[in-house]
Amino acid sequence: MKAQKQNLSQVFSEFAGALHSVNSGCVDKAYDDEERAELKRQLIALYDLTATWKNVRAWNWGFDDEAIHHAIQEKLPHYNAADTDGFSEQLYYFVLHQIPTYIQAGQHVLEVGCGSGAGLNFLSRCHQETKFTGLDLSKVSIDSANRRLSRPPGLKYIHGDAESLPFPDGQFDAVICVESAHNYPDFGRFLSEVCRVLKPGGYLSIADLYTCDRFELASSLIKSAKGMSLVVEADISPWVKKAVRKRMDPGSLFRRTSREAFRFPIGPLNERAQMLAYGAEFVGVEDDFILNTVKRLTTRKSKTRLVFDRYHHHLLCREG
Amino acid sequence: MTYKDQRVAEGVEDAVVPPEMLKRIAEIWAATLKVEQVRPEDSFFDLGGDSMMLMMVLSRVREEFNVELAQNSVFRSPSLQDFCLTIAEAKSADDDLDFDEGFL
Repeated sequence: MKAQKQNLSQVFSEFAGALHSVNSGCVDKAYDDEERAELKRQLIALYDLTATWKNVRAWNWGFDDEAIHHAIQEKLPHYNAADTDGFSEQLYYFVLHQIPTYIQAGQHVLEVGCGSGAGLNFLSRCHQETKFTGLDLSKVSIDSANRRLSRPPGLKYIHGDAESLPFPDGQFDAVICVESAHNYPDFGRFLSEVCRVLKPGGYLSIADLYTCDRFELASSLIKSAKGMSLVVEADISPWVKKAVRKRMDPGSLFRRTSREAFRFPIGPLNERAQMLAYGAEFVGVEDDFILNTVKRLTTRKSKTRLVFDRYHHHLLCREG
Repeated sequence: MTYKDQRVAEGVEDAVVPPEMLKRIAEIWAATLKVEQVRPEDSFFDLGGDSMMLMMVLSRVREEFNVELAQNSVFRSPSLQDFCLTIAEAKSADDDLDFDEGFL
């Protein structure tokens, strides 16, 4: 038990360090191969560890938009019932449906950074005739997604690296990437890999949280990406914040489930840790003594806390 | 306000006509109207289009994009850009319909 605890705290602090390195400073840091491999190892260790946690009811910061809510409800009337608030689902629906080509039978969509696979599973239920493939660097996540969610031939998950996609050229009609790109040490390489695996005229739709520095870098890389043209760059923070605020409400399902996952006093601590991981600072949660304590504890080592203060959507088209 | 309302209010929603669709429809117009090039802002009738040519265009659109457009939809929106938007809208309304039928 003690060894496990030590392992947990080491994994967390290495993760925080790697995330800090990737997201601070607005110049392309041009890590060498070894540095990139080490950063990825540190980041993936946390995702591997959390992949099997059963109490996860939110898989991204969420999106709250009435039009999207109704559009989903027409297809899946109970999508936000029981154990989910539906905001994670809405973000996925939004990202896919910003792509102006039509979700047609037989189209093949790739998600880079699919994590637990829940988002793609949801989209696959909305579009049963579309083929979806999820890719993630966390082998544990992929194994678990394949075991619990994969549904051949329409939905499968593959282990691999966003910066070196294990697919032949021109295989996909569309690529989506939801809250994953902030983990990539070499964002430019990811863009050129996506461009390679897209069919001409295919689309890349990315939603992610950014620090000020990282946004400057990502936005300029997107605008100068070879073979791809930017169709939309949009600040979607109002709709993300709406969802985050609802989750941060003391009576929310999000807070209740993360609190009840563990016995006192771990429960309330986990609740605050989850709040910090899912955008508490983005919406500026009112003074909460336990939250501030958890925040202090988790920033002690890296000293400066990363500020993810913007949330953007990008749509790119692969030139024909 | 929903995301879509916001984009429409900003007047940027037009930007989201798929480039490859714009290109393909421009080719269809050019072939039918016997002109070399069609720009997004060009009007079908200014380029010499008549109702016979319009029927030919609509039939090609039906074949390639699997969408049924009424003749008068072009009278309401005679530019190439607007014509593409009309197809896009009809197409997405159509997709929702297909899905519901599959579901019931």
